[in-house]
Amino acid sequence: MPTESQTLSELLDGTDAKPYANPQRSAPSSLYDLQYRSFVIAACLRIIGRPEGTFRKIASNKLRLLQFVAMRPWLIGMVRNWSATRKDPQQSLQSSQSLRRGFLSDGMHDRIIDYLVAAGHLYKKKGQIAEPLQDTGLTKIYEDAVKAGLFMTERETIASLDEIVITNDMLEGW
Amino acid sequence: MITLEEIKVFGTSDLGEFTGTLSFKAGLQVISADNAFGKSLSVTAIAWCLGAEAVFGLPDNDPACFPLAVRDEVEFEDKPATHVTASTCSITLKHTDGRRLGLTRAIKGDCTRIIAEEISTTGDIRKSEFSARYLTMVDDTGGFQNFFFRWIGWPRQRTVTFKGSEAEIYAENLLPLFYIDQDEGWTDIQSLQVTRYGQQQVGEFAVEYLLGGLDATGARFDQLRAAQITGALKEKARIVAERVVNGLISNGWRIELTANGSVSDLITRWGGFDLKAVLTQQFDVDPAKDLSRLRERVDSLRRTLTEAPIDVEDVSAPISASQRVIELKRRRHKLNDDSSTSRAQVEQTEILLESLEARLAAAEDLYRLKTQGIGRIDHIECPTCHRDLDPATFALSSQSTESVENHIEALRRDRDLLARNLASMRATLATIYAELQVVSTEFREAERALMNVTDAVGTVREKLAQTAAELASAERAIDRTLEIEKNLGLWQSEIDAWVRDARAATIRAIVPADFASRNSAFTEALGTYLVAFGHSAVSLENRYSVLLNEQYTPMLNQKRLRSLGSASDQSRLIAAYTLALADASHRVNGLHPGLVVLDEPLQQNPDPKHRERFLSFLSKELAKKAPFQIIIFTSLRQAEISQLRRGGVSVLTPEGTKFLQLTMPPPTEGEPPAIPSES
Repeated sequence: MPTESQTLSELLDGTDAKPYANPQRSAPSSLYDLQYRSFVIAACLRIIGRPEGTFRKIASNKLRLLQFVAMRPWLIGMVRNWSATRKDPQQSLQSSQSLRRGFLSDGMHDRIIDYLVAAGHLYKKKGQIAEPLQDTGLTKIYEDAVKAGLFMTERETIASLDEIVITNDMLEGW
Repeated sequence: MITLEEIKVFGTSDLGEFTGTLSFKAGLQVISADNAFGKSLSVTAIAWCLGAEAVFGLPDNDPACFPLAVRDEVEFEDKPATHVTASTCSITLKHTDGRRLGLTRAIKGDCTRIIAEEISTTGDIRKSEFSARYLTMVDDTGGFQNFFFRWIGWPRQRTVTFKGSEAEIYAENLLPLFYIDQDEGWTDIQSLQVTRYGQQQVGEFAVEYLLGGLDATGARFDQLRAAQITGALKEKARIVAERVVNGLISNGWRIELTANGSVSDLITRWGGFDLKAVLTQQFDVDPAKDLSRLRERVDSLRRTLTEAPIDVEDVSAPISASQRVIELKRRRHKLNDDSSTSRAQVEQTEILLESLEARLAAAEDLYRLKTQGIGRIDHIECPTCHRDLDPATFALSSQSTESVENHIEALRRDRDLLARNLASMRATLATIYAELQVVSTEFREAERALMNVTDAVGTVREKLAQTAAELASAERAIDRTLEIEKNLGLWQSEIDAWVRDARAATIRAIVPADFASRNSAFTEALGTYLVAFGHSAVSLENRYSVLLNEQYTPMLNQKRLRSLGSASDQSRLIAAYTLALADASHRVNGLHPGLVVLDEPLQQNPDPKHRERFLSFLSKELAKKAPFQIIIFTSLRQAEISQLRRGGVSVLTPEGTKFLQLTMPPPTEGEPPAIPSES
């Protein structure tokens, strides 16, 4: 399958067009970077995950929401509002609609989880995502970044999400 | 250049008088004694006698840097701990020209004074007493540092503080480059530097000063001063521009008056700026003309009210009063609509800007993550088949640093554009609010006028009521216009005053400093010392790649040398830096005192290789033939002492287990105190 730029060059081939490439505009967002996404998942597990036996676990659908909001800290107010109105279906629907559409269709998250599971850094267990406590992969990613003082906003966002009540109803829908 | 000849600590205790002395000669010497001997006590005495306790982060005249042995309770060899009643320390310095200086300062007692005993080359002695810290540099007769700078031959150097005032370079700013103490000195280059005085770039000043680059320190001072003056002018311009623009917006006029650009650009732009002309040109506003027109109208309305004939058939008064109310109500409604649209736009843009800021922060952190080589799972393989897992199989990829850099650039541009849009939207909203306020006031007035007109009985009274309302409105408009005219005059005078101040501000031309030769002498010496110390990241081949950045931080291949090599390289780097500076200063006739004190360099890392490398350095000609004095306080094993001595290194091993020794027991009750014999 040809890439977008290949298709474009075929279309422009033989014309008088003088293409001008602006690499800044074609550079993808950090949201699509494997390292960034791995860090966010590592941070969610470390900050919110609960150690159980030899694993640190978190509900997979909760992780899906946490990582989505961690990368978009401006949504935290919306989550707070959603949580506050969760007992009122009408109001809850208003505050959560676009947010739900966003995190539920986050396909990249599924691929990252699949990749980390395939590599043995994560396990899927009965609706939970589990990280072996002795695993050094994700732990190292998290600790190195923290030591270097990176991704403070993401870490603070995840920590503040821990203070918001997030129920299964909110995550699983109606 | 100076040589430290002696350190002495003495005092009295309940068990009698005590003293401890260490004598030194020129060149390299190692003082080896067991832990708890009192080495740190003697090292501290150097900084204390120079009145530089600020390097330990202590307030003036606070002897807390000394161990308790001289402040409270001292333990002598084979004796129980005993109370210290008084203690003092002194150092003796010898200048290259043969003059000597003894500095004595109490530790327990009145430590606010330093007694200086100058001994001339002919043996003449002059004793003076100085204030250790109070006005130490400023007081020409009583300040210790003022005296000491003159004695040693150090010129005074002005610096600039973050608060905008001028300060000077003090002894405690220079000491961290030749005095490395055990507790904190080994944590970083110039870690003892005193930052609490707020002098800008004090570390850079100190390096340039000791290398004798007085033209460089002078240029640095001029540059900082110029930056400060420019900064203050720009800040004032920003405040003036903000006040004028906001003031005009509150009247519904939005003009472009920014403080962007250099001071000279602003002088050109603002120099010919005429606020009234801009308003006339852009908004057809001329307060003088408006006033004249309003005054004419007031006169005319007064005439109508008092003496002009009234047409009894004219029934237009209620109609026109009601039409004005309707017109103003319609305008107010439109402005309300506009303001809510504008407010929503501002709110949305604020959220968008916040999201952009967050995305930018994430991208910048990701860039640092990638350039620092962290945050990566090094090797990923399938746990069952052990084949490498390619992220592309999962439609995933790790972006290159160039790609992230490009993304950051794009985000920054978007952010700046959006920030400008937001500022413009906020200004539009403020203009709408201002207009809304004016229209709302007019609307309330029109409503009152309509009420009066409709309450009036008969066309004459209706006409009179309407004219009276119009007169009141015109008079209020005069007041408003007068207020505007006054404000315009005020704002114009602020702009003019800024231009006058900016033109009057003298920014001295910065004379480019010729510091290159001194800097390269230092860089070259640093490479040599790093190799000699066995720094694991620097070899004979790459030593010329070691450079000093603008802050005089050692760099290798654009990375901080501190972050390269092993953990034990840190103390080797600091020792090499300190000695290289002394060496380079000697070569370029700098202002380094020619004395380097290293306290416990071997205790910084228990690694046997570290000891081995350090001792190997000491046996090298580079150390042994150093043209300056190096005093190292440490604790060596017997074999190491023998090895160094065999290599021709002067190792001093003081006798006994304690530096402080009892010299005279206290007088027993009823007996006169013992007098020491003359011999």
